[in-house]
Amino acid sequence: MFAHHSGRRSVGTAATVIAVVALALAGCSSGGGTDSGADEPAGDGVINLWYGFEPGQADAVTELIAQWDEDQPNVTVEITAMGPELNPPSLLPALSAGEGPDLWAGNIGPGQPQAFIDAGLARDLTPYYCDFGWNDVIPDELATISTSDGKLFAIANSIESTGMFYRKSIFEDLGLEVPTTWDELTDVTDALVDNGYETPIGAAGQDAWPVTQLLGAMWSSAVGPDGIEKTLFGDGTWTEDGFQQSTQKFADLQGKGYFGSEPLAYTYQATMADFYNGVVPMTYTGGFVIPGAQEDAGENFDDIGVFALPSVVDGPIYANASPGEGWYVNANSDVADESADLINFLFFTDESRTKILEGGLVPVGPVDVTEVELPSVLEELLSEQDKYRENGTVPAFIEGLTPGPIFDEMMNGVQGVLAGSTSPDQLTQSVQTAWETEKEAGNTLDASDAPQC
Amino acid sequence: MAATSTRAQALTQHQQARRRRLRRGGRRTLIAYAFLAPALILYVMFVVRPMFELFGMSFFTWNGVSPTRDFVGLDNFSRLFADSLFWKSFRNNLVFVVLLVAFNVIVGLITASALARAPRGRLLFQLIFFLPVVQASIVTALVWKWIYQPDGLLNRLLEVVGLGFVTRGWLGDPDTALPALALAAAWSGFGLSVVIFLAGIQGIDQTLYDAAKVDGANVRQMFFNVTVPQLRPVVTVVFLLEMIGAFQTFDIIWATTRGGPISSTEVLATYMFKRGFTEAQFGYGAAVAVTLMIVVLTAALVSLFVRERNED
Repeated sequence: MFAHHSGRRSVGTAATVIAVVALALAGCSSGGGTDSGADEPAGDGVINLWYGFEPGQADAVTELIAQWDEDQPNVTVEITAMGPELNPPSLLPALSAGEGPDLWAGNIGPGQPQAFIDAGLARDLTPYYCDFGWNDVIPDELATISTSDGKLFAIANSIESTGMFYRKSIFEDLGLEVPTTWDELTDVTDALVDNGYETPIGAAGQDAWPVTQLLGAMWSSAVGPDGIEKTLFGDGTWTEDGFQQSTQKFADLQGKGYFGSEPLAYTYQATMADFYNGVVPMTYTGGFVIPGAQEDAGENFDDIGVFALPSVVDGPIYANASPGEGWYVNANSDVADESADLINFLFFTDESRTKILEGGLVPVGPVDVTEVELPSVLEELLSEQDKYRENGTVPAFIEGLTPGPIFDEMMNGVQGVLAGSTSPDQLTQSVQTAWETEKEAGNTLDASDAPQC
Repeated sequence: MAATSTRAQALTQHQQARRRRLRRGGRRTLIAYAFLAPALILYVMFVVRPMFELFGMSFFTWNGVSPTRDFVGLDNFSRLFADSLFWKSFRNNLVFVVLLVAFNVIVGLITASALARAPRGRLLFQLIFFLPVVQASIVTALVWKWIYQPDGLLNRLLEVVGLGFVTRGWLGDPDTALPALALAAAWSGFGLSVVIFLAGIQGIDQTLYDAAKVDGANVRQMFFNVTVPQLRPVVTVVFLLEMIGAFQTFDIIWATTRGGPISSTEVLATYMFKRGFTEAQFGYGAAVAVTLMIVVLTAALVSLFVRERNED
């Protein structure tokens, strides 16, 4: 399917453990399961599945579901596919009315997902985790993010990483090397400006979240895994030096015009279109874009490269990773076992994991990429992550580990910096204020333990 | 004796007739209530009850799914009034209302007045103006998003007419995003104003215009001295409809800017949605909704009161 975009090669060692999310959230201790639910699925039924992927992102998953569906004589899967914007607000009233789906894919982390868990609407998946052997695949550090009170409530369908995506042919034509230091990055960007690229780094400021992910990456780059952990789970603050310095560097990028003259005028869609057309030579985004890009970029897909963001403080470069969508089973579903069986088929069988990987998403856990035809840009993304993994891993998406208002403040602040109306200090201060409010209200993520089998 | 008997008989007949009338009237009233009942029941179920529930919810903290809610009294409201983003949303909402209502009432009235005088093509123009009203609001939002893009229709037109220096990403500029969206929203409701005004103008007694003409009035004078005063009740209706609609605007903003950039297009409805549905703070979202309802109700009552006083 992706032969024209792919090359058969090995990334790193024969079997690369891709999904080590070294957030050092906590060690593993207590846990325990309820009654085992991992028996053979039985009985007639319909699994209502809701998910909120970007278009193209779930093609491989959807095909696999159809395949599983065909093999089940007594169970049918009915999919309701909503965009990422509609899925969360639709779930709330549906689940609270006792209607909702049997199985849904949604955000993992504090905020709404925790509300579902606290309300007893999400089924404890620990028995399946133990009986199906998911615990052998999912790294503890990742399991803790979707664990509450020692129980596992969601299975992440993928591990996602971010990086600076760039157009190889433009770099080659201008004789530019992939930068590995911040100064090299600014030199490359200057060279692009000198050669007529008005927007060397596409920001997609109108939608705010893409460029905010760049700021998040700069923060993580400055403070490292320990700094992030200290802030999320300790007594660290968002106004400490590393955050301040990196926010200032972000403002400098804007000051030098690297995001173009009107970064707030462009949506993510428009920015990616410009990137695929070679108008914008670089943009910071994540692996989630790859499945859709295979179609959207057309023949330019193979021209897309990716490099890790250089350190903003001349320190080490870190790998980054965050879980993708989490798959939850409705606590009141009468096809819970069948739903768990579907999860097991989708994300824990070799055949499915290979297909998902070929589709451009990286399944959680160890993945043998030697015999897999990967999309070329995914190979590069994985290769870059492997290169820096020994330095530690930081979260790819801070928004997945913080309550909603934190990312809202980040997005507002980033847009303010892009508009010239917010200073870096104001940005970090507003995030810190929101953080204190959320922390006081008990809405922040607790350092948790992975479930024990 | 006979006279007394006749009188008593007449009285009885009168009483019987009165009773019959009352009975008939009572039956009519019952029939009227029977016809009203289904609508009333639906209204109570789907409007009144949710309204009271919303009021109730605003005194609690609730994440939208939890079986328990914590009573917090007026905490949500005190938090709301100290929330700078709420006040920014409120200010944006007021600006949005003023722009939209002004456009649809003033331009709508002028357009309707011009159409009323048009000898032909009136129906065609009515149809053209009314088309956006029946169009799905999400389509309207996407069309205008495209128009306002940096390489969109508006900027291209401006360049063609030599105004290239004012081109920009209209929805990406915090100074222009709100007026740009108000214009888009006005466009989608403009046709309805025109149709209502046109119907009102056609109901004005033609002799008033004839008399004005005899007195030597020109078109402008007839507009201000005949059309506008005669249309006052219609203007009030359009004003109220547009104002309430503008206060409740959500879809066009959500589908284009989601309240950005830098909250410059955040209005109470989008703010309420964010707090309630995306951040699972239903009590706080309900407090925003209650405040919005009170604001709209007050504005509507004030405008009705002003109208009544002017009529008196």
